[in-house]
Amino acid sequence: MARSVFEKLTVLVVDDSPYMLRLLSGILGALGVGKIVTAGDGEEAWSKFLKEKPDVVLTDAAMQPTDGFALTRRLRTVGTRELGTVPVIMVSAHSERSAIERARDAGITDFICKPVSARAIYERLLDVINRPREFVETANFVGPDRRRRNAAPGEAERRGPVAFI
Amino acid sequence: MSDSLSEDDNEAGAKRATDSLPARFVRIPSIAERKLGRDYTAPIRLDPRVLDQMQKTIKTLAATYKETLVGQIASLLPLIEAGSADAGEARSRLYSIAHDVRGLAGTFGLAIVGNFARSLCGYMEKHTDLDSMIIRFHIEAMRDAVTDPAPDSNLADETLRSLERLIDAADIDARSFG
Repeated sequence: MARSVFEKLTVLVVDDSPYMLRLLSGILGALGVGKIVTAGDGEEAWSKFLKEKPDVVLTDAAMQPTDGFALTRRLRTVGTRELGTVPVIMVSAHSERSAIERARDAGITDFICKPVSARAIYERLLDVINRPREFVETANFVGPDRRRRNAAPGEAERRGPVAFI
Repeated sequence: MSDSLSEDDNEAGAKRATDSLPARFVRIPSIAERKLGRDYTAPIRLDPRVLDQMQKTIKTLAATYKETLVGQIASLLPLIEAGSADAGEARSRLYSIAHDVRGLAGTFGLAIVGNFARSLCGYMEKHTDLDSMIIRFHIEAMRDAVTDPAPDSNLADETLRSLERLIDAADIDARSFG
C-alpha cells in the first residue's frame, strides 16, 4: 500500500546543487515515487510546475535568480486553488530562526534542515499526503494554517517559529 | 468561513486573498485519499523495508560523493589566492562550494566536514571583510577530515572550537579598529 500511493505521485525537486538533485531524486526513486521532475532554480521550477502540475514540491531556499521563497509565494497565488495549495517542503541548510520565519511567511507547508536523512524525507512526505493542512487566505497571506493545533478558549497559543510550521 | 477545494477551482489566488477579508479557511483533501480513491483505507504508514531501500540508495551515492567532495575542497584553496580583480567572483564561488558541502556532507556520513563547512559559511555570511587565514584554516580542516579514514571526533570538535575562537577574535579586532 505504501508503495502504491507513491507510484501515483509527481514530485518536483528544486535545488541549484546538481548533487543534491541527484541525492533527492535517488531517495524519492527508492521510495517509489512515480514521476520525479527536477529544476535548478525557481524560474525553471515555475515553468515545470505549470507544465507538470506536481502533487508535492521539494525546494531549496537560496537559489539564483529566483529563490525558494519567491517560488513559494508565486505558487500560492497561482490562478487555480488546486495548484495553489500544493504542499511545499523547503529543504535548506539555512536553519536560522529568521530563515524559517521567512519560509513560513512565504507559505511553505513544512521545512527540512540539510543535511537530510532518508527518514526525514519519508516522514515529511507521509505527513503532507496523509494530513493536509487547512489553508488560510487573507489580504497578505495565502498558505497553510500556521497553527498546528487550536488552543482551548482562554488558553494562550503556544506559537513559535518552528512549532507552527 | 470554510469551503472545499472543488468549490471555486478557477478563481485567481491573489484575488481570492484580497476579496475574502479577514480570513478564509479552506479544507484540503488528503493526497493519499485522492490518489488511491476507493483503495484508500487508512493513512499510509512508514514501511521499514522502503526506508531501508532509501538508506541503501544514500550509501551507494556516498561512494561517489566522497570523490566529488575531495575535488570540491581541492578547488577551494586556489580561490583564496585569486587576485583582487576577481575577488568577488572567487568569494561567491567559494561560498557556493562551502554551502553545497554544508548541505550534503552530513547525509553521506561526513558530518565533521559538514560542520567545518557550516562554520565557514556562517563566517562568510556575517562578514564583509574576510580574513584569508580563517578561510584557509577552515579549508584545511575540511581537507584533513575528508582524507582521514577514521577522523577523531574529539579532535574535530576541538578544531571547530578553535576556528570559532578565531572568528570571535576577528570580530573583536573589527570592533576595535573598524
